[in-house]
Amino acid sequence: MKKLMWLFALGTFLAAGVYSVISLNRWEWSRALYFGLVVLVAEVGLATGLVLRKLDQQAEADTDAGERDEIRDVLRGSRVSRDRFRWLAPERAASRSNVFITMVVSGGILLSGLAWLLDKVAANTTTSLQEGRLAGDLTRIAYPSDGLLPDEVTVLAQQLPDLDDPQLRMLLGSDR
Amino acid sequence: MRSPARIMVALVAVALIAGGVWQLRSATMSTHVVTDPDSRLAVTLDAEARQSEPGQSLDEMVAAKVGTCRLEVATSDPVGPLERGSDGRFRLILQPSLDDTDRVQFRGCMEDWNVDHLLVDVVEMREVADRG
Repeated sequence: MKKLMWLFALGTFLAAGVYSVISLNRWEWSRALYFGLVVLVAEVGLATGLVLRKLDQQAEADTDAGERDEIRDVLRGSRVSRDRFRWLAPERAASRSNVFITMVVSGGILLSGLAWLLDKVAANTTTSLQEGRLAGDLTRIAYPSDGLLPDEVTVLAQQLPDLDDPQLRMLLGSDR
Repeated sequence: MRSPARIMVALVAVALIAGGVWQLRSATMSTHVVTDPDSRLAVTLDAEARQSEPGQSLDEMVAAKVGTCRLEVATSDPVGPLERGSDGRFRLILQPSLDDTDRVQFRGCMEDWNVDHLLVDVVEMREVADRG
């Protein structure tokens, strides 16, 4: 297809050029101008195609150049190593403290994160409803508001002869 | 270093271009001679109009072109009207006749694309006898 386009452009250029000369020879100025314009258009197209083809060839030549490859290898060799886990390699066993420190620090960070997560979960386990229920349960076993000392009525009741309440006696200390 | 074959090809190309330019110069150079005032030139035209404007007839288009091209050679006047024969061809007579350069110019002008939608072919240009 590309070759066909080249042939078409070249044929147009040559044919228009020939007809332009023939028209000039016949004193047909309008025809000569028209064909001259076609020659100009074809010439610009051909020149553009030639320049683009030359640029492509130059780019390919640059890619294949051995000297360019050598320079590229040097540039690649001068890069900083990207082996970020080299410190884990066995040949670097003499400096394993790096690993220990790293593990301790990392472990601390992980444990702190885990503790923070547990704290957050635990904080969300109590709700206002549960707190109300707990308050009710605690009310039942709470100390009486007026204290644990017997009142006067109870003390007087102790004097009753038929009273035999061991709990009351224990409370008043009369068992001893 | 260029090869001798390429140098030869370049030289031949330059010679051809130079020869062509020289020939073109000779062909387009006006060299006029005085013609006999009583000489007459009969011109036969074959004309065709394509997609012309409405209201324009082929006759008036050819007449306009003849008028334009007569000014190109500038010396001859048409004798009599522009006639259209039974074969559809147009005929006119110029007096005095045209020299070789003017004939080439007149033919070139008539066959050129200087009137839209009109193509004219000069079929014949020949000397005719004087009126007397």
